[in-house]
Amino acid sequence: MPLLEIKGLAANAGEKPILNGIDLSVGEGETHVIMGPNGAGKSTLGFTIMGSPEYEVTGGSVFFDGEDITGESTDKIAKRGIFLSFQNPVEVPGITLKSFLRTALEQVTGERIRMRLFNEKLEKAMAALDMDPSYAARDLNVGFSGGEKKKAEILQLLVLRPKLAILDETDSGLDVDAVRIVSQGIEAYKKEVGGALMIITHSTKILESLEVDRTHVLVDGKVVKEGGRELIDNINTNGFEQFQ
Amino acid sequence: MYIDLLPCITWKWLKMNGTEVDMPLNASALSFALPAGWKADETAAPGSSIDARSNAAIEKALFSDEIVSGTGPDFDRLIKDTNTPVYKLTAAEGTLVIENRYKDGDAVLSAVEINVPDGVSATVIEKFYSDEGISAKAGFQTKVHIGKGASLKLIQVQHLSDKADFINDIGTFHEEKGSFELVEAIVSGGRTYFGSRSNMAGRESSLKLDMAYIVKGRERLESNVAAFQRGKGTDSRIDIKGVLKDEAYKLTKATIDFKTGSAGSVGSETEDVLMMSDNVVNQSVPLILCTEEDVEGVHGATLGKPAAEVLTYMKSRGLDEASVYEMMEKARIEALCSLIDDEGTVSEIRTFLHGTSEEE
Repeated sequence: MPLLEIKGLAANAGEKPILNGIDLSVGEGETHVIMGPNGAGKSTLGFTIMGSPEYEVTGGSVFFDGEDITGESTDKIAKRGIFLSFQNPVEVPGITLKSFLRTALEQVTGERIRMRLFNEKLEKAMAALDMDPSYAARDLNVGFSGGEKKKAEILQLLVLRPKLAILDETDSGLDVDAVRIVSQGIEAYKKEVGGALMIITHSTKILESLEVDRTHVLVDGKVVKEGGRELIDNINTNGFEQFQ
Repeated sequence: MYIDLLPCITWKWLKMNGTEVDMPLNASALSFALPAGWKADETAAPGSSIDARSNAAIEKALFSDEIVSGTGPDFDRLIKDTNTPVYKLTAAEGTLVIENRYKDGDAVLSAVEINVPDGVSATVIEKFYSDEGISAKAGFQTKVHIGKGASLKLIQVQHLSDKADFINDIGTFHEEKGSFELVEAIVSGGRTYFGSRSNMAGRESSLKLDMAYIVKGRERLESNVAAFQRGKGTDSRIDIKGVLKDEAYKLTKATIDFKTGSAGSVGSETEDVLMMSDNVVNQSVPLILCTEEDVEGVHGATLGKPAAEVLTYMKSRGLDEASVYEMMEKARIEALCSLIDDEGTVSEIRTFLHGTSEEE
């Protein structure tokens, strides 16, 4: 049984159809890559899996761990073990990264966590991402550079340890060094948690050090091509026009 | 007693100009330990002859270098009429803590007047606490004279019963480069009337006011904050953040008043209110008054519920909606903790918020 199974998923943003019948499945611990031109519906797919109220599911269903999660609220889906790394993480003044992450960890595990234990986890994860420890006490994403925001997303991934992580354009806007560090964080997640990855991306820099099990090309809200790692090399050479 | 007069009155029917309050209070002694170098004298209150309903009279007094507090002259008269002693404190370096713990049935009034000599930097922490559920009435006045190049940081923490009514009154006078920083944390209280007015006469004097409040149930909070900027190159920053829940009522009046002669002065006032229920009443009167051309004043107010994208983001980490709201509510006060350099006070605030002093 696949960890994530999407059957004929269709979704609208307002009146506009964005996803037009997507079929896709991800097994435990697998790494899948979602590629496609701008406006193909890649981010919408991530948000729809996550139950975002911004999108209305008009058809099909999403199964996770064998259970139908279509229409479930975002927080319940997160508690099941799905994590979405945002392309543009929002700023939340007044709530520190540390307090937010601790509360989130308590919510997803359903257990109270002692501050000392949490601090140890946080420090370890921050060190892995070469993050300045002072960021823990700063308001969540407020005044963070683009790179620091993306690192903060991967930090949350490492601390929350979900079964499936959907990374939405995590490498966009990052310089070479930041991509390397974020990639190290993703590798650490794979190694320590053994979770599955769905990587939504335009570029392939972030994929260089990852073993890719399956690549899916989205165009106009549909999967038009699937393959292995060789499909990424094909796209790098020939672009998306061949699929349109 | 008429209090919290808006510095520029508006339509009467809006009921925002000022408030008539009937709160019988009795003189109450204070007990506190003076830090090294501080001095204290107990004196009789002088009262006031200023008309509490007249902005012209208040302005005239301010130009005569008087300290006219935020709630206004009627509160001075109440202090005098009740023979409430005024503790005249002369500040030195260090931190003075005045803790007021109100009991059931209290109807008490206290006043302090702090003189911060030239060049001295001091901190005063005033705590207004009570047990939950008790019924009490209280009033407290803090007047401050800030000398040349001197600074006072006043930290006030209010955690009162929802059956406690409280008048909290502040007035300051600033000499040249005199700076006043107010950190105001209002965690709870039945009916709270808050007023703070700074008479910024001195050149390059400054005011920094950070206030956060949670008003819930059927609690009420009325605030009147004013920066009267007279000196050249003065600087005021008023930053108010709050949360309204249930059937709470809140009225904020925040005024920056640039007077002729205040050339080169700047001022900003912002209010950010999260409204967690459709049944709250939220009123805000941001005012910038100006009779001087060479000044810069900005104001802004953000009112409403948490943005949808913020909710989605936080929920995507497993927080349900109630937890998101609770976090955001507490964050308003929690954010003030970084401005309070007293571990004991921070620990108390966290206990009020989270039920534990452990950092959340």
